[in-house]
Amino acid sequence: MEIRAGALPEPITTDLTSARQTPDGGERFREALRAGAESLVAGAAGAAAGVPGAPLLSAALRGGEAAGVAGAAGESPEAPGATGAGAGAEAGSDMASVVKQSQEFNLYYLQIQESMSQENRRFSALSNVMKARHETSKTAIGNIR
Amino acid sequence: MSPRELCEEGYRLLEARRLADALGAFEIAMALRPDCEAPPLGIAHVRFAEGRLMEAGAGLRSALQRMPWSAALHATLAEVHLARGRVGEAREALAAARATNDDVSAQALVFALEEALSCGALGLRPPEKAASPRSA
Repeated sequence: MEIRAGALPEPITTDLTSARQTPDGGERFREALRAGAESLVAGAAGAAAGVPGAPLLSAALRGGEAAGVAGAAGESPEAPGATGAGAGAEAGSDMASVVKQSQEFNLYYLQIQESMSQENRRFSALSNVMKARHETSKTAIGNIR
Repeated sequence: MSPRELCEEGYRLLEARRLADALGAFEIAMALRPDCEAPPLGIAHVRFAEGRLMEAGAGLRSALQRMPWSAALHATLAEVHLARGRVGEAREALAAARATNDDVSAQALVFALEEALSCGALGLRPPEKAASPRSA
């Protein structure tokens, strides 16, 4: 803080500390916040099932839910202790399962793509057969003199 | 009606799914011109539409005895064999069609049938289904 020479300081008043007179509503507020966050996360997790990248989104939301619950339980994010390390390991395992699931889905989509490609080829082949059959009949009729 | 008109009428009837009438038209055309490939071809197509593949094959073989030069008849016989799942005989018929005349449309049919055979489009190979990870 910079103090300039010649500047007058603000007047300081002092008072004695007194006991709190209003009732402590912190616990109720924490409960309400926790319930709201949980319902929000549950709703988002349900909606995430129907969108692309659902596994990743669900995992992210599960992480958020866990963090929300941990935060509501009174843990401090500024001081990660043994429980924080445990959560880290869980998150790592979650991430591995998400990566694995993502790979499975990639493989699945690749198989679908291959299957669609084969179906398209079959459809084209059948279409060509029908067209050629029609042309052959027309030519045969045209050859009648 | 001339054999040509009868054949045209036969195909119109076949398209309208009046199979018995179509067959009658083609049979009259064949009686008038037994040396033409169009009437037996039409009869085979009617039999094919009826699902009577044995009769279709028999009629084509009989016509091929009179007209072995017809690539269209060979190719259609190959199609009948394929529909019956007889790949070996179908390949023989396709080879015979290729070896006959220069009928461009019949050769196009041969090519299309070979392509369909190679990709399993004629019900010879069922499509493979991918297993969903959701179901696993």
